[in-house]
Amino acid sequence: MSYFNLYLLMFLIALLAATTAMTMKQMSDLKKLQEMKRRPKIITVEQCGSSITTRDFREGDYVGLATGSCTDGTPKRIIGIYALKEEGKKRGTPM
Amino acid sequence: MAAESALATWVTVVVNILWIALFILFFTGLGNWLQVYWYRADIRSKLSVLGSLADDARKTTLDFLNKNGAQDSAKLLDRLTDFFTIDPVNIEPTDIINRMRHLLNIRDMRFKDVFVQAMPNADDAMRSVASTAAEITSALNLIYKVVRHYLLFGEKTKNIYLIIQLAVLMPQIMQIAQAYRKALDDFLIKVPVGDAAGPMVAVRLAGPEAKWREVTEDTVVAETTFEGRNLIIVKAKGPGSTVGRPGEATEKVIREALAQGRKVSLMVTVDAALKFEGETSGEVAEGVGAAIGDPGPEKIRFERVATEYNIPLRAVIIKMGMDEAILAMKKDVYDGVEKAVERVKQIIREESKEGDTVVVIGVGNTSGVGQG
Repeated sequence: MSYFNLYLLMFLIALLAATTAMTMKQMSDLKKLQEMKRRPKIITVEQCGSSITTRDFREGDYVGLATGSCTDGTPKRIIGIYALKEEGKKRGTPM
Repeated sequence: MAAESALATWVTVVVNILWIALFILFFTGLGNWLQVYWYRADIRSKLSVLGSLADDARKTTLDFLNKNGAQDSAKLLDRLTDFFTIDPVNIEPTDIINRMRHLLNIRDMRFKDVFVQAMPNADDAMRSVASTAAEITSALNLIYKVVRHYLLFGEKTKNIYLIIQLAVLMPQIMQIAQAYRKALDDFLIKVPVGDAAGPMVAVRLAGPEAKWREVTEDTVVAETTFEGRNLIIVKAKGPGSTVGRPGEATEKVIREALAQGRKVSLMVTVDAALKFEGETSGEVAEGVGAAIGDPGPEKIRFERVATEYNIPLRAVIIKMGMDEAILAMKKDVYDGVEKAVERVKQIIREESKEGDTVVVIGVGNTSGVGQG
């Protein structure tokens, strides 16, 4: 192998490494963008007297909304809405 | 022997090439050029992500506007995306608060009027959500344009230090942009965000049976009692996305209460606040002063009315990260709301007497938090 070929080979290896690194970086950015689209699970907290229950959030829910009646006739109200932390798929949690 | 000699030659060649390359990079400034080339490529890659975030936000907002019967939604959004507010002159500070308040009120009213005209059949809450969505789209568009400006300007003027500074700031800018984009989805479905912690404390203290009345633009007040004290609770009018005018409303209700001969002995402001890195989200802390993050006009009203009537002004904060403040309220912050309610009650017990009137102000965006 001549020196010229050697230099050319090294240049190509360096170029390939740089291109691979940049592609991987871009792929990582795109992956982050995809992950961003994952929505957290949102929970609605309802209260009836001293009893507090939770359920999945439905569009239209807001804190203070009367969602029905309790057994004693008083309105059942939403007292809180919160998001649960997003868990990674690897952990196998049912998110 | 021949193989060993050949290997030694190769190693020598490689080492020589590396030395020569290092000398060339160091003495010709080519090293800097390569570094900046890498930075530029990285910024460009992130800029394209920022562009797609801005486009996506625009598309989502347009879908929301169209779904809610907005007229000429694309033109409307284009007009609002580039809307700006010019700061008042500050080298002559006389009356700057009134001038700033005037400008901010005009801005709010313009946004409100535009959506009243464009969405005549939607309710106030839906219009306020549309307005917030337009603001988020505008913010993402602005971030994209600013980054593009500095990149192009750096390239045009060959200012490598400008490009390096931009590259260093890019991870933070990306985080902010991604948080804004996520926040848009949360606002559109009217989920309480972290910043709604203050209004949520207000609702908890007022109780489900409280009668709320609107005292000033987008701001409501309710009265209740707590262990012999009369509580006046102030919050923005929900469940739409607005922060209201808590300072103006508080000033008004305090003057009303004093005119009725009541003794206002305490003011407590409750708001979400940025935590330091390492602190736990949802931690509650208390202090003195007005807990509110506005540019000034509302905050100064708390301070002025408290000073005028010598009312102790106390602050309770619920700590959270910047992204947590604009994203759907996390469980930690929600738990913090409960703690803040207890802390406010403790302050009221310790610093007021039975028969006194105490004003509690839940400061923050009330998206997803109605009045009960």
